[in-house]
Amino acid sequence: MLNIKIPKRKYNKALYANLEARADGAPIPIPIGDIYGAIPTCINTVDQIYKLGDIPIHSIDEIRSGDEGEVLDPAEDYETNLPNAQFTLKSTPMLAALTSYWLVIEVDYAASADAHIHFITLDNPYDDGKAYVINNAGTWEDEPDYDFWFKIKGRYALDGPEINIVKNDGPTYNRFGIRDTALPCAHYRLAQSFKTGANAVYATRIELKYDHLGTGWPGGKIRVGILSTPGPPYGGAEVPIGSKTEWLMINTQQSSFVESLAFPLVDESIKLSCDIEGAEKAGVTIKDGAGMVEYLVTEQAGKSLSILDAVELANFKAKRTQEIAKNIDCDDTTIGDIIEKLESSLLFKFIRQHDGTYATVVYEAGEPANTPHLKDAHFKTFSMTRRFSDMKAIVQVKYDEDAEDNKFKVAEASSNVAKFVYGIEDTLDVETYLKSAGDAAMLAADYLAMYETPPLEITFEVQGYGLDLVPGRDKVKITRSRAAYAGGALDAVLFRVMKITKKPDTARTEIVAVLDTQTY
Amino acid sequence: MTFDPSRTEQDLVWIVEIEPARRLEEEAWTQAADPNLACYWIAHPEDKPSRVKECLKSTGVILEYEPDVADLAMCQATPGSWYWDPVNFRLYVHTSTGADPGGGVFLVNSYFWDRLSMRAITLDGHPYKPILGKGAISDMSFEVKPFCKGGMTESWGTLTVMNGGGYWDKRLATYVYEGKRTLVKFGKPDDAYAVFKKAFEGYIGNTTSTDRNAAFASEDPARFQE
Repeated sequence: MLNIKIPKRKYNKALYANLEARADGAPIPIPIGDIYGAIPTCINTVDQIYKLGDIPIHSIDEIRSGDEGEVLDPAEDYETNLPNAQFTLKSTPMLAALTSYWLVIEVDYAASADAHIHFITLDNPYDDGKAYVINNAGTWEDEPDYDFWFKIKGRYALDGPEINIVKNDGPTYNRFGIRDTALPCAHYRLAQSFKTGANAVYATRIELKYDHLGTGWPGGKIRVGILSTPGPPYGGAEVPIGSKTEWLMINTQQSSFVESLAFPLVDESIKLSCDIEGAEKAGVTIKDGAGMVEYLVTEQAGKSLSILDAVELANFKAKRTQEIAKNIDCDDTTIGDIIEKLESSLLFKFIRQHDGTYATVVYEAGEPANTPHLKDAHFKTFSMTRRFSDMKAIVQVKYDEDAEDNKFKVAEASSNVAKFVYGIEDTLDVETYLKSAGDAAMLAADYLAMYETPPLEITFEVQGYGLDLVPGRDKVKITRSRAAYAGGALDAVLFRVMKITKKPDTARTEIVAVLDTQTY
Repeated sequence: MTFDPSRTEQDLVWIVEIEPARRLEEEAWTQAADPNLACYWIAHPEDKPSRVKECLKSTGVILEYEPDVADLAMCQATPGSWYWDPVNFRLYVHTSTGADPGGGVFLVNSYFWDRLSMRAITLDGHPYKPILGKGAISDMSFEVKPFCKGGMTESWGTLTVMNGGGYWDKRLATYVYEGKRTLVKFGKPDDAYAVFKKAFEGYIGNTTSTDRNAAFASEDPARFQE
């Protein structure tokens, strides 16, 4: 089970025909916990569909684009598909050749009779379209005698030069107010149909001309979208093409103004990063170690939950509440590798027991019930080692990995005792899945307590086969009249068992154990 | 029995149990008589299987059959089951689709226990073959790595058994031992099987045979899917 490689699947053209080229062969991640800066993969460059993982995820909290990290608007810029860990970016409008479309003007200020703007119209010189006014219910009414002043610019390729697609400019003839309650339908939106030329083209910008003639300037913003079908009574449901332009503040500095509204330039080369909450259980994001182990065993390894010791799992969940997270996206990682790093993060051991089940054993100080007490007569051999070679003066705990650049924050603890008394400068680096600075600092302090003095290790042989002792889980209590310990003896001192070797030839068991206070 | 270093454990009997597999998908199966036409049988001189599994080749889906249903009629009524006929030493199976297990659709394994000991002994009605010599069972170790590294390792060196008369030559060629479960237990000669204690449970790795001995190395449990 522990050798199962995850992530199991990789992006490829057989799975996703329109996959972005750079992702071919990359693992499809398994996000667990709160992930900051996850890089989505474009699995459909035509429809701008992006994927964040190979499992259902709990949420997409934020998507940023470009080097400056502009935050995209979930209501306007993308649609999520959490069961597939995907989102679809509303992209640059792509206009087909020789086709009619409708540009629709929106403003966000409150409707008013005396503070609104007017869009400039011409005296119907445009042959391939006409103006419309749209009421608050979305009903369109055509204005066959008018056309708006407009220019639409575009590119044949997103990285190509910008060209004029279609325009209708000239001297002002009239003007239509927008959100003007003095008018019968208040003109909640305005629209203009137009027809493209001989080539398909990306729409990149729309220019419109407006003023506030005879009224006050309203506050608020303006934007434009493109539709392929006008609303009632003409075409039924409005069908948007790509994204709308960004909202722009209404320019109040000039009496008449040409506004240039830009569509987002989005293709497979756009740089996106996302903050997400990954794997979930019963609608709740998995953020603790017990949840992560349970998820890996049941969902990734496909095993029954019964192979985990229920009592130890519940204890693990209660005692290790630190928040963890990992976007599992490496090419050569196994479930065993993930669990080992989780052990380092949370000071527990994932132990295969004699009955074949696995226990998540949390280190806890003190003497458990039924701890064997070994005395002088029991020892066939005995040695004690102060492991100077294991000592560390500095512990650096890496935490809160940024999924975008795989960089960690670092919490550090250093020991004057190790430096001054023992004269060493060695550093222990521990990479973890911890999220918080406080948890990382505590872990660094815990590790330092283990290693700032030489770990005291005993090795001894006893009669028999050490039957139900499990290393990492069990402790032994040692009493010896002679030992290199305080007072020259060991008097009921607790050690944690680290290794057991059963020797059928000699009917003995060799046990290696470390002073209990130095295993934590 | 818990860990008690005061106990003197002498005159112990060590036993080793290995659960090899027999591949059955290329054997000639016989369809059972009417009305049990969904069942197929094969001679199984290895005694009653410990379990029977199939893998549907087209999907890779593995199914462990219902353990040893009570009679042939129940096997007929239960897709994915097996029935053991102890009188004729026949294994009946009813595959998940009802198709012939030898028809090329499935991989089919039966499993059974090889029981080995240091001396002739019968436990729970099963004879143990006395082919474990002195030193046959090597040291078994279990170790956790330091917390900062994570992980646990288990190892059992190599089990060495006598290969008199080429006994293992044929078995290693006929059955699959690699990657199969093994148990190492010990007890006193007059102990009941239930009293024997497990010293190691793991999997067989490499197998090696010479004219004198056969050797079974242990393998890292992390590799296995069971």
